[in-house]
Amino acid sequence: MVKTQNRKFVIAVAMLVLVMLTGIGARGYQLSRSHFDIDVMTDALAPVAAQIAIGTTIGYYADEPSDALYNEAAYILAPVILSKNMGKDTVLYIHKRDLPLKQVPGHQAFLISETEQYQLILTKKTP
Amino acid sequence: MTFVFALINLLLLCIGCAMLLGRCIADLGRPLKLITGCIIALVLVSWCYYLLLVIGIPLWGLLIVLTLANAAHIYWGRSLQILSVGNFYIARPKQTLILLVSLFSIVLYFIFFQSKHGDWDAWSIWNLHAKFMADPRHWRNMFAPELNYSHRDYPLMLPSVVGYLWNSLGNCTANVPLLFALLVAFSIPVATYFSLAADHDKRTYACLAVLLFAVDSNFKLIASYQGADTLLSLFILLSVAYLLRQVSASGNQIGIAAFMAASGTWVKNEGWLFFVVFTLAFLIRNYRSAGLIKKYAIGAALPLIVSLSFKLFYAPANDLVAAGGKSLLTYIKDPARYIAIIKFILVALTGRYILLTAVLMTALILCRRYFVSSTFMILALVFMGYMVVYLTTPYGLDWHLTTSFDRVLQHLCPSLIFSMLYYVAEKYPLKEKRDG
Repeated sequence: MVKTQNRKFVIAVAMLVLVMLTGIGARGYQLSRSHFDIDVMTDALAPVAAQIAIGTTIGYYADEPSDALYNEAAYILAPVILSKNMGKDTVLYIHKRDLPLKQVPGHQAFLISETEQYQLILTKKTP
Repeated sequence: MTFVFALINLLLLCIGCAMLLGRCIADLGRPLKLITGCIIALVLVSWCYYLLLVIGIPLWGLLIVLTLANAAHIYWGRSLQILSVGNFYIARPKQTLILLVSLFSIVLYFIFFQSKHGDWDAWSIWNLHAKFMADPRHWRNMFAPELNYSHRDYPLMLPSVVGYLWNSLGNCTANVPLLFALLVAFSIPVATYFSLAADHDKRTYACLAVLLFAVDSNFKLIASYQGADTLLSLFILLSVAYLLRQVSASGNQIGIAAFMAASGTWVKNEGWLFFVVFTLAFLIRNYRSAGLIKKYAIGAALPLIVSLSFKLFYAPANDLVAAGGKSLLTYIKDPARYIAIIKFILVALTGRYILLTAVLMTALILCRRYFVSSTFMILALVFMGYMVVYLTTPYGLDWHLTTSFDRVLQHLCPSLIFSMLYYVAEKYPLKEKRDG
């Protein structure tokens, strides 16, 4: 009698644990497939990241003075450091599409990547 | 492959720590040994990884050391025996089901509300630091002045654990901090349950505690942020739990309590405040017992050395300290700030924290002794310390309260619930009925 009860209990616990693990797995999978703002930006910055030496410091300029945008780009490109000092040899210019395009003084664009909202322009100092 | 190796080593280290703990403290249930062992193993891995980065050893160096240590404790210590906890669950099916249902509610919250990258603090502070720590060659870039906004002085336990896993995995997938946050959220009700259930007459209260966590949406929400607040609350909870379990001078529980309290300083800066208050309370109560003080000092020594090494050699000044000073006196003299803080607390306690208020009120009726106990005093003093920070904050008071009040309450809530139920259970012990 006790053994049967134990068996039922073990099955109940195992089922509950299995449901939990399946739920966690399913949610993890769903989240890894879904694209949030950071993921969209990560995809767009992938070609940019490939052009920058890991661990270096590059300049950063954006049309929008948004902390969120800067933090997002800094998180994605880490361990590259984004400096708001425009005097760097390489500058990442994030251009908002509905605003007029600017020119980074003394720099030339050499890579452009795009999202729906932004153009991500990597520029290098002209010799 | 490296990731699997790193993960297996971490799991085996958890078991090894639990076994060692069992040898130091005899009257500790196996589940509590395992949980505490896991926490100690996480702290050890984060220290080792931090040391690896400081010295410049490659990851495989750490993995070889961990493998040798694990092989030694499995061979000589027969530590895998600790995993035979099955009888406990079969002997107490009702309690086990209640615990599982509580964990299930956390999983449900995770399924419906968990965000992939956590809240703002997760990706602009904690996971950002972890990303730097995942790269042993450039991790010091984390302290560059450009990253001032990311609070470069914040301690490194969470970033180093996530960084260790990311480094071994070879990429920075969002699943690692996400699952780690879930694991930490799980460990709070589990640790509370087994800390209370270690005594026979407190098992009903242990079930009540986990049910409280199951219905507390504030707890689950903040746990889903992927920040270090819930991790800190776990250390505070275990410090309080082991302090209460130290019934005689001969036990070693106080050493574990000291280790947990001091390790809080490796999780968040708020951990320093807790450690100072906790240590003072301990010293006031036990200043005549040299043996206990010695055990406390041994337990706290290593975590303090690691945290201090970080603070002295790497961390820049804290933003609150760096910005404060000039207007401190003006702020303290300003009654409007006191009124604003009290008003904010009252709104929170009568609104989204109504459950906590109800539990506090019930405890006030049932067990007034709790409110003059040293445990409550410790938690109350830490809370007062947080309020002093708000009072003197160089940031906008409203902004600071709105963005951090819930998170700092998260540090204290689990310990408050645990200690309150502990005292109520002492006054009204409930004999459990046999389930079978």
